Amino acid sequence: MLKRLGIRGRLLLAFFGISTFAVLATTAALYAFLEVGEVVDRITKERVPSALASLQLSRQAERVAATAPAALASTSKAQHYEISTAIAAEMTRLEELLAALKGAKPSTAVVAEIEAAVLGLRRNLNALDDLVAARLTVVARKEELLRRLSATTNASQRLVAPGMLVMNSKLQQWRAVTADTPLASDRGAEATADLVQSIAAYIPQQKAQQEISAVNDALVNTADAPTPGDLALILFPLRRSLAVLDTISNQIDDRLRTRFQQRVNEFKALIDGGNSIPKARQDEFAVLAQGEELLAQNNQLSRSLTAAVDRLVAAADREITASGLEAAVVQRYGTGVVLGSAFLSLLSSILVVWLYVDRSLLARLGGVSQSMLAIAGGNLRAPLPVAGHDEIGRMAEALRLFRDTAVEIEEKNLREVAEARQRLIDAIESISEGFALYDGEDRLILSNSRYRELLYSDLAIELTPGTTFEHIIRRSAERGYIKDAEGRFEEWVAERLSRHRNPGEPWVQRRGDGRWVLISERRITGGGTVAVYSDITELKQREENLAEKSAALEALSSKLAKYLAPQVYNSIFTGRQDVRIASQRKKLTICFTDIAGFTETTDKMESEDLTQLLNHYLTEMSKIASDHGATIDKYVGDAILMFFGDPETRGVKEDALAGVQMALAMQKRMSELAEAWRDIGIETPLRCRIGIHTDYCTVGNFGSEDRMDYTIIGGAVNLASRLEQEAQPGTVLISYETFAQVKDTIDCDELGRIHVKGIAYPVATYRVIDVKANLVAARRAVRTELPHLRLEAEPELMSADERDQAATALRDVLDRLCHKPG
Amino acid sequence: MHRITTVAIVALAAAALSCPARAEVLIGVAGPMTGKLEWTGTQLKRGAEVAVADINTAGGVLGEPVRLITVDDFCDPKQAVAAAQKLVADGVVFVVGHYCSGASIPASEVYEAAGILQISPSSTNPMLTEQGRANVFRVCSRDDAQGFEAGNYLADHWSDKKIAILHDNTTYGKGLADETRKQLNKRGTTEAIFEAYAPGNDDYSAEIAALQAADIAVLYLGGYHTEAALMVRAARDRGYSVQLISGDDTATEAFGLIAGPAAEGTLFTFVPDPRRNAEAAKVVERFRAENFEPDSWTLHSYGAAQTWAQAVEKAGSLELQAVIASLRGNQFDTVLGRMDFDNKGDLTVQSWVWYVWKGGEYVPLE
Repeated sequence: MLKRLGIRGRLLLAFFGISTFAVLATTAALYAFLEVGEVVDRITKERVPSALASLQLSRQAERVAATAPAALASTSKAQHYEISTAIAAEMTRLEELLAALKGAKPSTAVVAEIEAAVLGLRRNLNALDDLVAARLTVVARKEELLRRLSATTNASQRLVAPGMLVMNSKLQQWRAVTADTPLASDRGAEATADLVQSIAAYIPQQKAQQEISAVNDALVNTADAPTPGDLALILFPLRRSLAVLDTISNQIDDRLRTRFQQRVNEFKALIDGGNSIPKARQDEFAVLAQGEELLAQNNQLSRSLTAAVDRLVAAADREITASGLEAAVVQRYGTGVVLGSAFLSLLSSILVVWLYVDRSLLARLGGVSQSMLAIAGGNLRAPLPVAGHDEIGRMAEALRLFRDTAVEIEEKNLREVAEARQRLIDAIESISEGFALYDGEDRLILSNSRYRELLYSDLAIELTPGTTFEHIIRRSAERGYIKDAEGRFEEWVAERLSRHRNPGEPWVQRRGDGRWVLISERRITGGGTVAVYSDITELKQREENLAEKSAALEALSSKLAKYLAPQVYNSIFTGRQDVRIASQRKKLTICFTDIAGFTETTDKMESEDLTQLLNHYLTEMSKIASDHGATIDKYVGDAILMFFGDPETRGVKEDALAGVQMALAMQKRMSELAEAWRDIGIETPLRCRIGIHTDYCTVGNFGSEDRMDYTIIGGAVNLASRLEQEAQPGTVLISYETFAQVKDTIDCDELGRIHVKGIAYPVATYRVIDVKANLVAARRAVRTELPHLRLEAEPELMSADERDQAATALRDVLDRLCHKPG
Repeated sequence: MHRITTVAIVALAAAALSCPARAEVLIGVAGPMTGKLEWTGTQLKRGAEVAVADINTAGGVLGEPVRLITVDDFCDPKQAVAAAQKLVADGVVFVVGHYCSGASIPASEVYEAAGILQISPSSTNPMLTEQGRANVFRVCSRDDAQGFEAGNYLADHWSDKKIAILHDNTTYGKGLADETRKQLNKRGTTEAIFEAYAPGNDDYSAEIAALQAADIAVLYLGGYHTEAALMVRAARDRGYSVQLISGDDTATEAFGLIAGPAAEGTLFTFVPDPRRNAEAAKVVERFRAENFEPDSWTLHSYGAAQTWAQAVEKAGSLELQAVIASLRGNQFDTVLGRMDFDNKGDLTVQSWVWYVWKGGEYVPLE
């Protein structure tokens, strides 16, 4: 049955078992704490407030009892009021505390006792208050009596004062008389008798004064007599003093007697009777005795209150102790249960873990994990735990499946790797190039047989994987396989290594056996180098052949070039212009030159001389034409056809200007050449006519497929030819179209219009004078060439002597010209 | 700020200190409480005491209780100044006193400077109110009136006899003697003797013997009752029947007790006896109930305090100027009868009456 539960179920069962014990322990602890809490609650809620209230009550009662005697001792109304207010406040507080105690619900019997005591105390204090009021009345009465006593005593003493004065006067008189010896002795006796009489009259007064003092003192003492017994004792001497005063009053002077008798009667009233001082003191004693009694009762009540409270407190104390014991028992019991539960829970946990979890789960899990680690480590043949029905069993089963799959995949991978390797080998063997792969440390990893054949047919050089590149090249250089290494072995090795490590463009190596090898090296990701070696010996030989043919062609081409305009030649040989029949319309400046009267001039020359003259002339002109960028179309005898604007144009205006400037340059050159030619025997100088026109023409290759001519055709060519024929020898004639282009730069004279065949309107013509900039300088030079006269003078360049000589020569010429012979 | 705080604190302190003083009004009574004039000084004190008790019973002044401070000036001018300064220091607002003119006059200067009201019950010398001190009043008549009365009486009855005028050289005694002599001389009679005697001696037999030798029939005495009593007693002892005439201080029981039978027939001037006033009947009863005879100036002392209390109530203030104005502007009904004051502080009605000692007490002369 357990087996069917599975690991999950069994683990749950184990945890449930452990949890059950834990819950049991917690419940027990909770119960114990609740019990303890209840007991403590009972103490704090019921017993403690009651006990505290009782204690406060007791203290308050003691305070009231302690305050009460002060009330009795009070001697003034203000003091009494103050104390009785204080006592009332304390009493109110006491009653409040009693109410609080009742609220705390202690045992009713004790509360009743306390209540009775408090009521008694209140009653007693009220009685005490009344008594104090009565005492104050008595004290006030006593004080009033004492004031009266004082007044009476003062009045009595006043009565005696005049007697004193009189006696002093008598004494003075007597002294005066007795001192006056010459006086009669009877006068002295008379004075003495007078003095005696006055003394006799004064003595009773003095005695009375003594008695009055005694009475006063005694009565003052009476007012403060400590005990009633003392009162009785004092009364006797007082009565005696009164008797003496009665006696004395009879002896006193008549005038004073009545007054004196009155005072004595007053004293009598203060000593005896209802309003006497002793009576007042006696009343006070009675009040005090009553007060003492009340105070005693007070104390008794306070004590009984304290006793009752003590019982209450004791009871509370007992209950608190009992509750404490109870709490302690419950706590001990609770602690035991908690500890037991904790122990059992721990024990059950250990048993469950040890007997069950460890044995049936962890041990097997360990087996599975060990097998897994072994498989992960590559040991696919490691033993596997037995499969089972639970999760671990399934895990073992899964592991077995995983292991089998892994074995299968491994075998398949090995096969594939072998196949791939074979394919790679086949591939690199099948290529005609040599192939080598070096690792990051320049050790040979792989090479094909072509590599050996090509580079190291000598078997003495090791080409096993792992051989270093340096080793290989050193060996091959030593063996003389490398042409470049001859005589500079170490240098070459360094170069080769550097090139191997930082490969660039493919390069060619010359081998010792005369073969050429193209080496392509590439760094590959991961730090290796791939090298491909191609045998290009044949290619190299073919290239040499080709170079030879090309040189021949080049020579041929330069010869051919002389028959073509340089621009056309360049255009064709650089491939910009196809050699095919094609044409296009362009605005060109066309220039025609011709030597005037060439046939007449050269008629009598030998053909060799003529050829030389013509070639000289054409060469000179062609040179000027080339310098000005003209395209020379063709030579027709002594005439040259040139145009500007094709194949390269600088713009219509610039082309026209170039044409005119070229024509001027030609004319200038012709005048120079005339000098040279005269020297060789040509008498009549060759003079050149030049015509220039600017207009649209068709330019291109004309002719058949076998023979083409790059030329221009159109009316413009005819017009240029016509202008050349119209020009005076040695001048340049241009059409209006050309003039319009160059008029800013070139100075021209307008000539007449001419008719040209094929052009309906007459054409305006212009003779070119010179470039405007040159014109000023040109005027300074004087040039004249006439038959039998050739003048060329540059006066600006002459010195003064030269000018004089020139002027003399010219004057001679002038004289001779003007004075014709005949 | 600091100064303001200080002022505020001082003001608060003053307020705090003045509170208990306000709770009761202090007044003083000053006179000879010891020595030979003790008897009459005590009468002044009792009169003031009973008056204050009655005032307090009636609710005090302006609703506040009155407390009496007693000082003894020994009827001495210097002691009087000291006593007055003591009262000033105690903070009284009013003084009943002094008894003797020779004490009242120097003390009045102290009271004026301190702003304290003074009402003398018994100082009769004119100088007291002639100094021009506004704070000084008296409820007795003046000695110029008394001397006028005495001088006229002497001239009327004894112009043909030898008259001696003696004085004790005190302000009161000499002042009264001078006034009497002035009036007597004005009436055309010249005294035989005008002399001073030293007060305070035990025996004046020598002075009496001298008068007897000069055959003096009438003795006018400007002085206090003790010396007057001793002199008349000495005269009778010698069998010398000189007629003694004296001033207001003779009006005391003590004179009779000292002089004994010799007092019989002595004439003197005194203000109308206030004990006979109907207004005073109840007060007199109160004194007698305490075995005290309110003769001499007792009721005047009472009346002085009573007048002050009424003046304060009428002024509604204890402030001196208000009370002075009240005293000058009102009439007062007291144990001394209805009375009012002139601007000097004297009673508007001056009245002196003749009394004679007969049977141990003084009675108005028939």
